[in-house]
Amino acid sequence: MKKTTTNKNFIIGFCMVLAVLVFALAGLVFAPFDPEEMDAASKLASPSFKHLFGCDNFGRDILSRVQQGTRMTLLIGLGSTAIGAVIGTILGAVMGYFGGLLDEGLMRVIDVLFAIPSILLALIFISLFGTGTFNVILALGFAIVPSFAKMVRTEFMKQREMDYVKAAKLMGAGRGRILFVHILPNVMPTLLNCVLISLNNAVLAEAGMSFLGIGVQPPQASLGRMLSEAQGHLQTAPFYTIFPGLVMIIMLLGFGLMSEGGGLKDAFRRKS
Amino acid sequence: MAKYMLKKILMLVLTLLAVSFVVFAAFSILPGDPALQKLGTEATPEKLEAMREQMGLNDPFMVRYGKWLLGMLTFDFGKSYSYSMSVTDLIGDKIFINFTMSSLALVIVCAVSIPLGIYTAKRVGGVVDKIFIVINQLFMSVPPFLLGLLLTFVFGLTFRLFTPGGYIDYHDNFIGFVGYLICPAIAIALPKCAMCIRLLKANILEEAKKDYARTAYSRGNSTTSMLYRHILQNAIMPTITFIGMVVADMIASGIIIEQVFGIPGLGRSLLSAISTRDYPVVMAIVMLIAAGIVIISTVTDLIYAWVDPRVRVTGDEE
Repeated sequence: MKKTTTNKNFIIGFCMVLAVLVFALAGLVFAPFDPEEMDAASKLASPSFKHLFGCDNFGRDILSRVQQGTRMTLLIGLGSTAIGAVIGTILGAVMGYFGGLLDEGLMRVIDVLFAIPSILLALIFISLFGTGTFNVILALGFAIVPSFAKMVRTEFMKQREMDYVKAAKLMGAGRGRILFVHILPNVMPTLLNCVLISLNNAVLAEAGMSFLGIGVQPPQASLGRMLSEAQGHLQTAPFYTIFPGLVMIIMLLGFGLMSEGGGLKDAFRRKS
Repeated sequence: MAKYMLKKILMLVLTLLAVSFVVFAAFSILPGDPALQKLGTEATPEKLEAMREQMGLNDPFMVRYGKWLLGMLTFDFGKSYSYSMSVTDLIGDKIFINFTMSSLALVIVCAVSIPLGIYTAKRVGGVVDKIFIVINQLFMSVPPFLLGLLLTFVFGLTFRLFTPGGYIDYHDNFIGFVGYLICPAIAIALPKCAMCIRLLKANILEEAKKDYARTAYSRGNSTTSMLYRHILQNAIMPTITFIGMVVADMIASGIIIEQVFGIPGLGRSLLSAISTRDYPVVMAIVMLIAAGIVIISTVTDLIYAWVDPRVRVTGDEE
């Protein structure tokens, strides 16, 4: 019973993310308008057949901008998760497997970083290195590292004592080989779940930062940026808020459902 | 208990020390000269040198760190680079705004999620439970600032229960101030409510499967008395820890929510300080938020240990 629900959730979530992805990528091949083209005549025009989602305060087509913004948000989410996942996995693996003084020291550092919320970490990073898309990716990637490393560390600590690791050691496998060839595949399900959660958080954080105006810079679109621009026109043009908001909710709901209750773990285990 | 408490408080002090060091070091290795920035176009080499001396920039790193740290203990966070006033004056009365907003959000989380968690656990599989599974999942996926926009649209623009952007200062009208903060607090609290409801429900159902619950049941307790007298005490503890952790997130999302509702709190100061590179202000706010979070998590741990003696024992091994 429980298993079927989590799998169902996973599939629904997957379809949602896929739909958003197709919608965003479709913009590369077919976008009704240039997302940065301004048309003074149709400022804040309501949705119509010409502009399905309406137009923003500069007369730019919201549909095209939502497509571009979703791509940007996904790009930042994927980029920062990739950075966080690679560094976090290496750190977590080394800490969990070797333990000792190094682990103790790094753990304290992680504890300290935990005391600062990840959006604040990203804000500090931005204030040190400046804004811009690339810096946002770095900042969020950096903010993901502590939680990722902590989760991976726990997994590696569990695996460390297992027989297959001892066997590999007896057969003379090097440390690097044990860590990344023997143990890593076994922690993959947990790792992928961490990736999904991080992706969810990164998208959320990117939206928040762009909303604050310190993420993606204009004229580039991102969902958070659009929402912050839409805020001033909430009364006259609610559709401006609704469409980017809707895409964002579908995307986040999709990630949430996929990572839900280890849905991915089940999907992964069944495959192997 | 005393030993456990001492240990926790020692950890708190050490963590804060480490945070302060990291923050100070991060902002000290920056390229750029604050003295030059302050003087702007008036800078001559002599003036620059005098200003550096006055700002204490010529001292060695550890001396500057020590001064900054000692200053913080007396709530002196240094001088703002952009405004010629002390950081304490600049952000002092903003702390209260964020404190009120976070406290309201915390009250909402507790008031909503504990009864609903118990209710959905009691009626698991029922219609209400099923509806809440969907609602919870939905609310967990909506970013707080989007929720803020929705609330502004519904309560501010449609029902006109409050004026969007019409922040009322607490010096003028305290009731109005709290009233204005309710919507932002709801926006911060709802996603956390959803998580707490789910967690509490899962914990109650988990505890209900255990042996002591079966024993209590077989001794003739009614479902209700079993739930409130036996299960709840055990099930609510992880939820309290979780709420303690959630506070950190709520303080962080407050930064964004302030922008949605036009509240001149710490978040706004932080953002303007970041854009003008006013590092003493940024450092002070980061330290304040970090201190708030670490203190809350320590207090949660202590409450937990006070209520549940098992933690004191197992907690020591950690």
